[in-house]
Amino acid sequence: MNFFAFFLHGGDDHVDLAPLVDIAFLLLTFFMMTTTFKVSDEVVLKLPASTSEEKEPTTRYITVTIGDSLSGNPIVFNADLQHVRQKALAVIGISEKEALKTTGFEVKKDQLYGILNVARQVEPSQKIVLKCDKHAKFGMVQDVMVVMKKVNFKDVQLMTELEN
Amino acid sequence: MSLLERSRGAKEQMRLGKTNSQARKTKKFKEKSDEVANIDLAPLVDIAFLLLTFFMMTTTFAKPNVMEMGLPEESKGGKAVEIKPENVLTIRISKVGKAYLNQGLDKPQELPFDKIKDEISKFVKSNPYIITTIKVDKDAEYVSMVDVVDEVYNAGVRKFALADMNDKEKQEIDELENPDAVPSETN
Repeated sequence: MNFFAFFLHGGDDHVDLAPLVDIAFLLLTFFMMTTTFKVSDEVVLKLPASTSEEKEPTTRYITVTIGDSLSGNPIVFNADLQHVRQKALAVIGISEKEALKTTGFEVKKDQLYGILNVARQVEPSQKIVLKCDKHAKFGMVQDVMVVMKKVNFKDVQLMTELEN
Repeated sequence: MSLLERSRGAKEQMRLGKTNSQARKTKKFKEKSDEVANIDLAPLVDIAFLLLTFFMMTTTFAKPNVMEMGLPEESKGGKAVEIKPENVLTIRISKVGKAYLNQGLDKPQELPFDKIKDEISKFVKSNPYIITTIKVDKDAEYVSMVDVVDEVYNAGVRKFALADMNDKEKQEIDELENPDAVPSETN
């Protein structure tokens, strides 16, 4: 096709849009298949770096986030499954409607055992991910890991960034 | 289509045994089907690109990585296993984030983070029964623990223990970090 001629003559030639639609839908299908809407937290974290290349789980997981020590090491609970969030957070009096929020819920350290225990009982096959700020106090991280151990989680996944 | 071709088409239909009216209807249909059906694809393309943009903007390919750590079960009154002191390799991390290494009951020595991997792999190669223990001060930053665990893992150690640092062990580290402060405290 002579493109210059096409544009010079006002572009009244009929352009076949079918290949464009094909490519658009191909890309659309790819992005729809590969996208997973992950749960996010309100706490902004600076993750530590490691050489581990294992990826975080994409489904059926609970996250416990610990903020940095300057902001008082806040603990945030979240889960990707809605019914897990609803049942676990009912322990600390959060209604089912409030538990629909996906950005995490700040909890106290002594409330964590009850929440994790219910969350694990509702869906025992869930994985647990611990997201901690690099400047969080190790004492706090250790206490949370001890709670996870008491709830009978066999292993914990520590979230890190890939080291350059 | 020329007039001649049209009349030929009608004649052919009549030859096939169709009545005049039937042939006329077929002719009309044929004439209509000759027109090119033009579907406007622009709205379809608009929606496709709108959705495509949305998914492209929300997709993150660079997912954070994870380090998997086993959480051992609580011992239920089982028999404690005795380990020879020389089979225990201890890495301590002070609250300022410095690492100290000692084997058995030896005095701890400061170890730069970039040398942890080499030192640990030397010990592991010389003694395959060695057990690595990491003891982190509660006031240390979490990043120090992750750095040491990562180095230990890279040194080929797949099983290690995270243990509490007792007061005596903490004091030994404090003495190394502040050698001048110790006599004044004891006096």
